[in-house]
Amino acid sequence: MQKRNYDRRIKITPDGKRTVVSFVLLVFFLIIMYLVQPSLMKPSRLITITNGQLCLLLGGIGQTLVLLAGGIDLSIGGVICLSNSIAALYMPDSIPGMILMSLLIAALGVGIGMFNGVIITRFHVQPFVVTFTVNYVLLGIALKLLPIDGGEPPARYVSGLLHNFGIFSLSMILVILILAGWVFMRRTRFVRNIYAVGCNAKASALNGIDVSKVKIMTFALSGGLAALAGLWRTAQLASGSPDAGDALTMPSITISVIGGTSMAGGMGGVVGTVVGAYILRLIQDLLTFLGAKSFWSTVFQGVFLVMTVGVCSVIDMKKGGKKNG
Amino acid sequence: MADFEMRHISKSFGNVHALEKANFSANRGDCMGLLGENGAGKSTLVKILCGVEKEDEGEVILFGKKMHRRTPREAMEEGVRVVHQELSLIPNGTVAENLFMTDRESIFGRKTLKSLTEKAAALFEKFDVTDLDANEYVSDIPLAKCQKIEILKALAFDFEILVLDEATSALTEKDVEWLFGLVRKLSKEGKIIIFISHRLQEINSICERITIFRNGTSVCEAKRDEMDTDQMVTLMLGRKMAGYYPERCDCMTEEVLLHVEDLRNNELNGISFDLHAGEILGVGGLSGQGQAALFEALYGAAPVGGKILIRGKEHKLHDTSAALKNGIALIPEDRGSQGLALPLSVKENITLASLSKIRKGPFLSATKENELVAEMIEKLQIKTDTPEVPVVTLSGGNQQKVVLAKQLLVGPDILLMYDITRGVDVGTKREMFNLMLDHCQEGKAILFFSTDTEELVHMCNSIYVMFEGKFKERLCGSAMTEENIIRVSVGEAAV
Repeated sequence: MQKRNYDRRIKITPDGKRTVVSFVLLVFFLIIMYLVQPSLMKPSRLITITNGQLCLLLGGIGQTLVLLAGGIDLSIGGVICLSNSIAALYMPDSIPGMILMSLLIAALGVGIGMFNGVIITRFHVQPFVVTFTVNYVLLGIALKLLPIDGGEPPARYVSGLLHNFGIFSLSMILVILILAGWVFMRRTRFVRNIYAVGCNAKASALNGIDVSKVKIMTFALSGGLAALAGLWRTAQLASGSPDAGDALTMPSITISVIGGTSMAGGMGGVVGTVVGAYILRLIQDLLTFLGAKSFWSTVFQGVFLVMTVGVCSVIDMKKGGKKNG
Repeated sequence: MADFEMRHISKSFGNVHALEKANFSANRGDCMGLLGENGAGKSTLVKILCGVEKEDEGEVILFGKKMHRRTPREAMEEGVRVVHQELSLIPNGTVAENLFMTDRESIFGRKTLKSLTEKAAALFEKFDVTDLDANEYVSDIPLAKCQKIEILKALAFDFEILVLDEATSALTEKDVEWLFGLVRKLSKEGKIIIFISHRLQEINSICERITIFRNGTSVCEAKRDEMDTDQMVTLMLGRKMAGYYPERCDCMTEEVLLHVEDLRNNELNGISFDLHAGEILGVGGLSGQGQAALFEALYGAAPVGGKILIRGKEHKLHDTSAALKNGIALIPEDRGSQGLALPLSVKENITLASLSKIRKGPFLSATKENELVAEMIEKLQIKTDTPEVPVVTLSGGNQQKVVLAKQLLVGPDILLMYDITRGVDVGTKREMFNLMLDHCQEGKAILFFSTDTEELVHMCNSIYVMFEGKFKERLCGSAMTEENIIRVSVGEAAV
């Protein structure tokens, strides 16, 4: 009998390598930032950035989950707008009222996501098409509720969410909770199934995984997280806007991809997306401080995105994923 | 030298040698029959001829001129036309558009639809076709007619060599007659026809010469009337080395684990059988006779009419999780597309279907998982550095073992094994056969389909041979021979 001799050393999984790429990029940009503007490298700046990026980050995490299962969610911007408008208009000025309202809005987001998921799986429509059109419906409803930017959420709501605990802000604590939560989630059957479905839906179905259910759940989570993003945005802006959040859909994909999540599904993860959100902000800030015109910012983001995707693809090829191609 | 020759052609796909120094030749005016078991290399030979695959070694010579570096288009321009086994029509195009699809001019739109229709009408007249309408959409046309269009598509241009790869499988009898008349006419005109069919009768009625392939090489080329059916069958089988099959165990009992009654869908034509505890029941026949549909139906992956009783209780298997819950697991044909999530780790793949076993509260227990995975890796001797590596980095045989490990971990009573040894090395095969026997000794059962008749004969208690969606014949005891499986597969009677 041959002795079993697998090596107990920890090896980095391909998924891990993708995340490592994003960490390397984060460090790279932090160093450049330090060289360009050392005065900005202080804790208070981290609070500002985290507060600013949390909305996108929540949407991006939802996007990541959907992408992992092999879908795409283009209604994130719409859900953020709707949630933002409702919160800005109707948020009551009492703590139980705020909690209840927030829960209702989150539930609405989950409902919208489930609707997306059900249409996609039940009627076999492309996720792109369904979420793209649902987004228009949501933007329309938001505009009906709140025709122009405005609304006034209670001051307690705004200050509560933007509260700082020493060098930590509530947003930073949330980010840490999200990362910790993901580590645990990664060990659940649900998340395992998301990866399996994204890698190979047919094989997953043949192994008794309810593929439709998994997909619907990812869309529901994405909708719920986007609604939370809208709630955060309401506090951050202390106001509502029926359409500004729409501009967040594409960046939600951007940060997922920078963070190593594959658009083809099954590869990547939430940790990378969190890192991606910070990288995106660093790039924008850097270009601002270097005095670049705003169009350079998008040009650079685009170039950078292509490069990241290329690196991840090379990693995939090295591990032999494209044998007969 | 013959007019057309393929010399010493070798072709491998990974570790699988599809062709090894195969020779093939034909002269003008020949209608050459090409015979062989599944996987003998016929289709690969055709693919090399028409430029879809590139040979690793060897040369193709047409009329004394060497053809090299061919693309499918260049092969067409050299005069090679192939009617493939699989249909390649565009459903939302008209018959006329499909017929002239490979015509460069029509691709770039310089031909109007009207001129195409006229050309099609001329073609129909030339080849005596009356039952097709050039302006009908292919999606509205039944399968039998589609195959006819496919044949006409090849005839629409000048050619020197016409390959008919199982081109009669969907044709009606009348159209088969039409095709045979055509083939005779074409060979009189000096064309080279290569005719591949799994129906020996057809080969007998049309081919003057035959070439027999076995294990990726040509073993015989002869005049058809110099050989009888028995000789052909013997040559197709050859004498293979036996010896690595385990001792058959006699653990079959009377207890019926699975009772199937009159299964029907569009590929199955009324299938009934009993599977007993401890039994390995073989399913044979050439590929595409409904075996895949049968296995999918039993695994709840395809809708089916009829009755399925598991341990005497009727079950409606609406989906695969219902099948798994009732103790039926499938080892699918194509591990890459149906069995594994290739980018995920060996560990994640092994536990893919049995995550509920390693749950501890809301989370999966890493310790429990590692234990189970290590156990399966040990039991199946899966060769991997760590259980964390992506399964795609493993060799074919080891990947197949991962699929097996995954399904065994579910603990099924009934294993459906669909051609599990394809592309697997001899050593791994032996290990798999031993596992199959272990499984049966535990009082469980296996339904075993294999394209390798030798495996069926050595492993099974009895064998059903499938033909056109039906169990054509049940072979058991001394009738369970490779000769008989092949005979029944090609539509002859068993002896």
